[in-house]
Amino acid sequence: MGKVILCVGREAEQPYVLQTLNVSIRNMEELCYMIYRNPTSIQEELFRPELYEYIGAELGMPERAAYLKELLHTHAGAKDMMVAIFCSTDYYSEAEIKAVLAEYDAYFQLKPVERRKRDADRMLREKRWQEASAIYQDILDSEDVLELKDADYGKLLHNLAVLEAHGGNLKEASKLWRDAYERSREEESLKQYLLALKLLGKEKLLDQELKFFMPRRELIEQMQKDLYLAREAAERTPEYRELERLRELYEQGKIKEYYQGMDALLERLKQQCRECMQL
Amino acid sequence: MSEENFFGLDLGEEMTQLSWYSPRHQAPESVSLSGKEQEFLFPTLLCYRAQAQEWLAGEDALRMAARGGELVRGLLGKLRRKEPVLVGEQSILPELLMERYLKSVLELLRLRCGAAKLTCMAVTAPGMDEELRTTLLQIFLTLGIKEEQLIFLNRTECFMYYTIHTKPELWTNDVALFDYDGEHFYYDRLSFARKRKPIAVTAEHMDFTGELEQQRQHGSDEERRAYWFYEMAMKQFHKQYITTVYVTGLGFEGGWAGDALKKLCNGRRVFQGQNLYTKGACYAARMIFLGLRKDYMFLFGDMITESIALCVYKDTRNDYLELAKVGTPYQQVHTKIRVILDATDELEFLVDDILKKESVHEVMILENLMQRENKTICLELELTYVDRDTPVVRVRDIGFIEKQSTARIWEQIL
Repeated sequence: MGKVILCVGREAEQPYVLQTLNVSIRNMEELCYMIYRNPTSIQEELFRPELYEYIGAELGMPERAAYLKELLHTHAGAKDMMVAIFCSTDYYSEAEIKAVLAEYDAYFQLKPVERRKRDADRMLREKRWQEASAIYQDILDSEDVLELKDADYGKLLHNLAVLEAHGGNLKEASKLWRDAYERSREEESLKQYLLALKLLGKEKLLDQELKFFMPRRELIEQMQKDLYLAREAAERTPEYRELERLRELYEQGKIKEYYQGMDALLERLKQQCRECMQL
Repeated sequence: MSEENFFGLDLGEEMTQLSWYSPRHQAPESVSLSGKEQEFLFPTLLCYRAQAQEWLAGEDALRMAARGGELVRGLLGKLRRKEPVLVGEQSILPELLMERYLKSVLELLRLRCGAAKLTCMAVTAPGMDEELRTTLLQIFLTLGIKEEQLIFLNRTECFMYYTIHTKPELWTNDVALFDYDGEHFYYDRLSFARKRKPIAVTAEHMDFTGELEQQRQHGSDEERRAYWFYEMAMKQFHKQYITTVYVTGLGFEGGWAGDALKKLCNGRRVFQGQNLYTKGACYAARMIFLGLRKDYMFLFGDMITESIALCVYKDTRNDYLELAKVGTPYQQVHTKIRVILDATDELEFLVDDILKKESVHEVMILENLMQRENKTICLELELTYVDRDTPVVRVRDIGFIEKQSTARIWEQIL
């Protein structure tokens, strides 16, 4: 059942910049959100007195700020600081707070290479694709990759395949998904591999791989359904409709308008691609 | 005099009255400021005697004026208009004149009431508004009365306090009041909602001065005036269940309305007198000071008759957050809060109208909500009133973590 969370304090006139994340916040809920999503990388921010000055003066929470400063003064750890901040608002429930603290603890139990992979996973979720790709590649090129369990190695390859697909390199992505499946045996990797073959038009190879891997019938049905829905959705996009309109222009012999429209559409698609890559 | 003494001061344009709450009789008693038995009206005027450089108030002022002193009338009107007065060759501020007058009143109060300690005094005057209240307060502070010893009420409020202290059978149904000072003509009607606690006492106030003035301009005599009064009263009583009527003000003196009042007595009790406001003020002083108001909710003028709350998640549970409180003047209702939606697109309000038996849940659905990650839709919610009966909720998307606000706005009348 949904709810309407009452925000605490006030919204500041001027934002506060969380330097380690290069993100600015204006209220307590936004601060909680950023800490929750970056519990391991935000630690440094939790020990800046300026943050608590800001909470007191700009966010209108002087008592909470005083309490946090007191914790800082008594050398409380990062977890204590996080809990104190989370408990200032109703943004996260007790269960959610416990979950992030468990994730925080688990992180420091990981080997360095596993932590790096987890950092890259987070970047991928945040659509910081180039940074994520760089870290995954770095892991693959280093000796540390041998420390990864097969399942995690497979997941790393899968995520790298996702990045390649976003970059338009479906051929490379298909190879990575195949490798990922062989390592991790995750059905999602197999599904993406087979879909990539379909999109690349490699029907013969697709038939061979279906016989080789013998995926469950449900998986194949799911793939067919996903393809169908994706095609339907694509036909509803503005770009597809524009393409249909341009085809009509061409058939009507309006060549000049056709080329003008095509140039504009291509430019738009290129721009979208560039923005995608920058993220 | 007891240890705690409560007073009601009715500061009129022409006459002023004072009453004191008698613990023995459990009711206010009128105080004769002039010291004469049964003479409770104290003229609201001053007289300046140049030779002695002396100021006199009330009856003494009238007597002095007869012997050549300079009379200053209309103190209240001059105070409102901020009109300085030329006395002799000196221009005197109206605040100073009122200060002199009230100083005399307070001195006479101490004289007549045996130097009793003034615990609390409620002051009323025609057209009591915030500006007049502030001016009178300053004057009383200058005279050594503390702010916590004073309450300022308009006359409608005094009428309410007076009525609820009469016998219960007199206010089982609606109660009406006609107030005519010879120039201004007012009508008040009180109704009572007893289905819930506290009892809501709602006042409707109307000004018929203009209508009466038209009558005068057409040269109407007493008979026509009486006819107008009766017709106006019956029009107001139409489809209203009014069984008690009060008539006050020096304008009713002389008996011109006698026949009309007799007709009004048909199926009703009618009372005529001049001390309703001072006694009502006295009751109010005692009730408010001693915190005895909790069984009643007094609503008049621009006050809203409902409380509005929003269901929010706060302190780890769902609860209702009050956005508007019954009894607040509608112009003062301006609440702004921020909320974040968690797996919902609805806002649930609880509207509790004190005049109705039950409260009502009103749901505002935020249509075409932005497609965003859960708990990243942050909204600013604002509640205001267009008029006393029309609350409006305005909801605006203000963005979350550098996500640009769509500036989308939803509005709904509750």
